Amino acid sequence: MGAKVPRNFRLLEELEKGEKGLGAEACSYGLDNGDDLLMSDWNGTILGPPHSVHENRIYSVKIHCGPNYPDLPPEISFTSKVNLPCVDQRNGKVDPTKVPCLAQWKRDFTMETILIELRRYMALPQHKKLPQPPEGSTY
Amino acid sequence: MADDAPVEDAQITFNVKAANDKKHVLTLPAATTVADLKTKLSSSEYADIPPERQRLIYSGRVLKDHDTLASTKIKDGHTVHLVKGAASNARQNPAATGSSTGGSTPAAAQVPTNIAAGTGNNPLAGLTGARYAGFHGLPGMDTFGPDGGMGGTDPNQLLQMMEDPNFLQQMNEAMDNPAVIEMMQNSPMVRNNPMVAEMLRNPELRRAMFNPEMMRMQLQMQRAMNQNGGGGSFPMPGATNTTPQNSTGAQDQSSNAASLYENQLRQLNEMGFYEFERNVTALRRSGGNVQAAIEFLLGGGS
Repeated sequence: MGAKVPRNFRLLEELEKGEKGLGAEACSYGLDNGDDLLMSDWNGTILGPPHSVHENRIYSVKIHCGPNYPDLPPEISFTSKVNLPCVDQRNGKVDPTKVPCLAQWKRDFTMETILIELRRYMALPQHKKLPQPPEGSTY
Repeated sequence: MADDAPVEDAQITFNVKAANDKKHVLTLPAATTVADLKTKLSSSEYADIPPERQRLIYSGRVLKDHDTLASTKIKDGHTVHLVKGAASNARQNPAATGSSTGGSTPAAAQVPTNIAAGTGNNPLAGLTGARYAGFHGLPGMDTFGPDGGMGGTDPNQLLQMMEDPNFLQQMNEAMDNPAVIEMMQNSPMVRNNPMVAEMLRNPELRRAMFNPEMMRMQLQMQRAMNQNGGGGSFPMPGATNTTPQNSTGAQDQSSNAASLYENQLRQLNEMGFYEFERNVTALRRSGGNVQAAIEFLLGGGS
């Protein structure tokens, strides 16, 4: 599938896509600190999927892209409190083994892939009715 | 739009994308605060949402009212997402205890007819009531047959069953029940196929696999197979058995593959397989069988 895109080019591509809002509507992401030359720390938001307890909520996540991204998936942790089986309730960290796109990470996946996947995870029938902590609370 | 009087400050032209796909282009001085921006957006000319219900998201952050365009680093051509929030924070869900959620069977506890609750609590008992008197075709576990397959059942009947929300609920519960999974894992079909066993062990895949949509697809496919005498061709969505088919050539033409496997591709996408080329290859190899395609994809085929 073509040449391997190096980490920084990939992240720049994703940055542009995020800033210009070219991606999916329900998710947004961008650099935590615009001066970060290594582009390691990102913020993301997930708009709660409709027809679930998450509707109208906005969840913030932190994304850390290590030096081996995109060969390895980034680390994700929720800043907003959320009750999901894949989220460690003590610190908001997402357990990569419980989210299919992280467990079976592919180089072509992007941060957007993950955010969309997490949003879909929230909307699953077995998750969409889980009682949630008050909106706005954080880890 | 650009109704601002000339200001010393630098102007930023950016987009605000609202939920209903409406896009507003604004040109504002960099010193504009987010609160000002919201007030501006609240007019009927733009989003027509009261400022206190607007949520502005940029670059993965929710913008705060006292931020300015400059401090949020919005640049020319960038896009801010506008979301309509709840009226206030008053409407809140009961707080979760936040202890271990474990991930095993979180949903089952809320459901009265949990299979795991014991034999006296027949999950299908409700279905025999007068309310469902018309649904004689609803299955017991014996529908699945000794080999774990759905061999002896009329596909039409099964399809109809799939439409019944009650059945779907039962299905979901069953899939959350370790005993059921174990039973399936012990069925000879699965035992002899480590790939399938692995899929059963992975809760996510398991769910995807028993997703009613998916099962419906499989049934339709099974039916199509029978009609064509077991041939590998899968009818185009909407094709009936009277539709003329070019079953020989179709599988070789990659241009057709996308439309031919439209449904299956979407399913694969939903399950997290995003590589179009590989998905098409896998589907073509499996003759349109999603499950086989997944096995192929997971098997690292290229």
